[in-house]
Amino acid sequence: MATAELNNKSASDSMDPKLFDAAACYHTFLEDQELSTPVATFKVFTEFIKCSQAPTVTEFLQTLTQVGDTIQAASMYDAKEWKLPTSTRKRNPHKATIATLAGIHLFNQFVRRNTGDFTELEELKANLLARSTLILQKATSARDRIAVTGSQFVHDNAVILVHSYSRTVMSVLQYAANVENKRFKVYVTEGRPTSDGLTAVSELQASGIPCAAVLDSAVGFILDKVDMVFVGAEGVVENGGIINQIGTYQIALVAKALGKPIYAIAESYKFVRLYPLNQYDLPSITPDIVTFSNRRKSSSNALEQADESQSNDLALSNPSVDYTPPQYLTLLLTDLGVLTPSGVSDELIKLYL
Amino acid sequence: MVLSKALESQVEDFISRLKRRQIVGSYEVAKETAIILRQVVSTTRWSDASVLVHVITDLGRRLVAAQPKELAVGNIVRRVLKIIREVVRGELETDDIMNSGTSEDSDGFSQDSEDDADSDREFKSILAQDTEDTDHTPRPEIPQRPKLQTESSMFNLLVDKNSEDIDYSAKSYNMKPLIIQEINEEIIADLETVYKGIADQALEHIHANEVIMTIGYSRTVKDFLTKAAAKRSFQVIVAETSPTLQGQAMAASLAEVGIETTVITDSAIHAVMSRVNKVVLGAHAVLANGGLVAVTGSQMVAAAAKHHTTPVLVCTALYKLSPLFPYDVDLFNVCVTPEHVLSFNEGTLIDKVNVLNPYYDFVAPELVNLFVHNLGSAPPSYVYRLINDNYDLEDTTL
Amino acid sequence: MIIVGPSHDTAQGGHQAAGGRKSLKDMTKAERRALQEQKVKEKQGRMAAGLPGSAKKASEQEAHKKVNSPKIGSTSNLAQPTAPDAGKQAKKQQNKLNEVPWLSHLDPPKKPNTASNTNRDLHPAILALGLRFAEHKMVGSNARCVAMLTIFAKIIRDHKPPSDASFSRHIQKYLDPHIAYLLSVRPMSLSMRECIRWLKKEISEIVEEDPPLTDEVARNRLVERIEHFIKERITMADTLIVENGMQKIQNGDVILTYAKSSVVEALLLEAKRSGYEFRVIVVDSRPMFEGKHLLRRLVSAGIECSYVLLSSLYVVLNTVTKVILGAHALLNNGAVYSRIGTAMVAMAASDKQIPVIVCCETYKFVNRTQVDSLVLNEMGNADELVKSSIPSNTNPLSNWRDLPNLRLLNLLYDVTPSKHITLVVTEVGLIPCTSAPVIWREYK
Repeated sequence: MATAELNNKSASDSMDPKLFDAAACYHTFLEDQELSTPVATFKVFTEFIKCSQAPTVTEFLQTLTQVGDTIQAASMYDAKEWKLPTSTRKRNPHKATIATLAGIHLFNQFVRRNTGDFTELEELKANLLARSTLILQKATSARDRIAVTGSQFVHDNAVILVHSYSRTVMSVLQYAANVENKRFKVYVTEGRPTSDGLTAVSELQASGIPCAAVLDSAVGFILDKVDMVFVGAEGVVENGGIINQIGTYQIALVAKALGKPIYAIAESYKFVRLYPLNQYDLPSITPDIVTFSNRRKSSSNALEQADESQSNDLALSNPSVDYTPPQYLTLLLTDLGVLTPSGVSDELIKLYL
Repeated sequence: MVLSKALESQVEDFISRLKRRQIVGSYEVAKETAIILRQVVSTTRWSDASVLVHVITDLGRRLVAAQPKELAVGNIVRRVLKIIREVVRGELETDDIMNSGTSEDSDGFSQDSEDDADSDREFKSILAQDTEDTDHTPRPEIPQRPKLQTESSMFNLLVDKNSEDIDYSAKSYNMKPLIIQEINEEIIADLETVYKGIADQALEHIHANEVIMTIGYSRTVKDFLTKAAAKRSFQVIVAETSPTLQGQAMAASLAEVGIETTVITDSAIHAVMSRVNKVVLGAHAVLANGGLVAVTGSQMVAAAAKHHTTPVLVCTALYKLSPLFPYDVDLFNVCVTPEHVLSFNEGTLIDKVNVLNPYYDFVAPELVNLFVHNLGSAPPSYVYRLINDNYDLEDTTL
Repeated sequence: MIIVGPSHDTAQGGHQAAGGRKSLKDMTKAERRALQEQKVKEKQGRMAAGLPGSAKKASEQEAHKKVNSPKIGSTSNLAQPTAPDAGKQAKKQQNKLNEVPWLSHLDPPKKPNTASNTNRDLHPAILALGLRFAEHKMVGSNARCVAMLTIFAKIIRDHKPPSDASFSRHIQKYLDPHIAYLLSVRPMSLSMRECIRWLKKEISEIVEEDPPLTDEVARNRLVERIEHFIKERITMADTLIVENGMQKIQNGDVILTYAKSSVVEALLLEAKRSGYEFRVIVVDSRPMFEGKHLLRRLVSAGIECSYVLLSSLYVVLNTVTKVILGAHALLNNGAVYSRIGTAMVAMAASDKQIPVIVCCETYKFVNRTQVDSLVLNEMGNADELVKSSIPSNTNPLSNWRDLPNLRLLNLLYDVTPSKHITLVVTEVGLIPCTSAPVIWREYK
């Protein structure tokens, strides 16, 4: 890994920059499209352990916490923005802060579970590194395992609705089509404002799966023709609900009203100890639209600006994720197997208690 | 690994009866499966547990394939496998098998048992690892499993302190009697007491002067209601359950024990539901999401109850809990002869019409309020947990 | 109104019987005495009630009447069969026929009393019709209404008023026992009651005509009106319903229907004739298996059909695109009163967001509201339930009368709440079922 290089870069203002630039490392890892955010987070920690020069266990743990804070802060910005001075940075609301949080929580718990037995710092570090390698191995195979679990739910002649682009959902569909030779059709929502859904459509078409993109606003129209809905997840919360790209909640509500099963597909490392009460109780950026304060400003700006920036403004003033409560989800398909929403809490309790 | 000749013919006989649906009903099927497996354990030569697991899994796969709709077969196979795994672990970790083994199941949901289940999982992941990593043993191959079966959790990795190598193939001479004893106590004896275990809770769920609706013939439900009737007076309305008319038989047997019983046609379920204040159903199988496979018509009763916000109780023995999910609702159904729907006498008509006579119904978990099982009761959202307690995740797919 | 007092009493009597739903032999002496007294009281009540003023009252009284009276409506024209033995026997049997305590307000199924001389004053045509009604040989609300009205027209045509009365003044009095007779053989469907209400209004209009009409004119006008009613409100209405319903049938539809409705049958056959490609799933139920008749006709018209029993409804529901049902009556709260089981089909379909279409002529819209299926209903013969669909099998309940705790209930109708109905197809167009009272007012 390019840790040495990273070390030379400046910029992080929240922690010890001499040794390790967690944020830059994080952003570099995320350039790999196949890497999910929690795994990237985990890797940053691993890299940090490798080059940590903290003298005592206590200090080591303290710096770990700092790294966590930095990653969390960095997760709100694009790599480019992050390099700017704090005051001029522009947050990117479409960054996956929840997934980062899941990664940080998981690593902290991992460290907590393992510190007790070691008094020698080097021993501890060696142990952590050894075990985190194992964990990362497992994590990489998680998506494959989900593909096997999830494709059981795809039956022949099924019509599936997928929300935007999700790597795990794609792997399930690819597995069902290419390995199990199932024939099915897929509708993909456009997934505004990122329009990632269109990527999904071209990928699916490339593997010969009949599919079509639908507008996010056409979900209610199309759902009658659909047998089941697959959505990915940024994070799976304590009660078995999910936090995912904006629009998931709406789809889940419509699916529930029309009696269609909706399956959330997520790796278990996205489980996060959060318990949102509603949409406004998320640790993500709460966009200004909720308070209406920015709206007038943006619309007055819009008059002067071109169409493109207008829609850009609209995207910025809108939330990037929403929360889907567990009662709207049929089942969660994870690498731990198929879980009912109540099973998620069970797993989290086992991990964190 | 082959079974002894006598046993093999017994298995063949069982398989053919399963195929022809000459043996139907979870209880009979479960019992026979348990007895055959016990014989396999006792008569087959096996030097170490991995061989035994292999033999049982193999046989289990054959039995399940013979009649995939009788989910109890697979459930019992999984129970036996779990017992074997437990015994092996007990042998290797401590000598005190009896304690670890029995405490867990006699007490399904206490904190202890959760811990137990936890340590089970650790054990399993160790096993899984072991089977992957060690190639030095000359023992027969453990059946290849799809990757998802190699027990899960990253969480286990976080928990494991050190990856001690437990040799699954360790020789042990007192394992066999222990496993047989466990099968006897945990499964066969359990089967004999399930009806009582469920019926004993009747008074916790039925109050005086209730009007209860049920459908089909279920011994579990019959014993449950009979037990309650000994102490309290209430009425039962039974839907006749066409075309088998099992409900009529149920009504007759309830009336014989002195319960005021009314038989209605299936079509009157919705009309009469406004009078009913509890629905009690029996189950053919309970799936991991808390849904159930039950006699045809059950979904109708449950749905009508939902619309009248009438609580729905399901009486089910634990051996009916299956770790499978309703991947496809029709997967667990079976269509039997349409003769009872449209008589073959109507020759000309029957040729031109597609007549369906499904035997089972799938009832969605959101239509069920409570499962009453032989060790207690649980809402549908807890069923997954009961399943984790009863089966080894590694055995979900046989 | 004279019948208020006694009928109130009898209603109470019903409650008492409901409280002690023991068979006679289980009762204590005191209870038995109480029951006896109560019956005497009832009888007095009925005597006091005398001739009901109208068929409506008669039917109401019928509904209120305690169940264990085998007697026909209390009309003075009819001699009352009060032979004590016969009464006792009937009572004993009816204890077993209807013990369901919460349905004691419903009449037990009746046997027409054709043999006795009680009916000597009646027109022979009505006796024949009554028999067919009672034996359920003529079923379906349209068929029953048309038959009843046709017979009434015949009776009116044949009626010769006594010398001291005009036709207009006498015809009502003459018809009353006929109506009461029909009531006595089988409770009338709501739509039949609606027809009778309409007929009475027509008669009273004739009476009020000034200057009075001659007998011949009055008779012809009445007969003409009845024929017109049948044609316009039933026959023509069905044609229009088929026409309107066709708008909602598309190629590739999988249409589910329950039991048998003449207008649904006409609609499906017409759709086939018009060249639509669709499949039909006929859902049927014990003990009447009415759907089989529909099935036969659809199959012989070349429509691809599936046939299942109601209990397997959910198994076939996944492929269904539309549910089309008939109705016996449309109540003013938008609920549909129809063959028992309809509510379940509509509920299951609407749970799955499958449109539920009810075909119903406007003459079946009645000024009545009902939120459950038990207040007003009809009991069929409980023994029907014991008939096994497979002749070879012996029924588990063949000896049900020997089991003191066992009752068999064969309800004939149920009420489908309006929330399960997407659309009502009538001859005046496609309407939401909540507009039922509007239509009813228009046509009153």
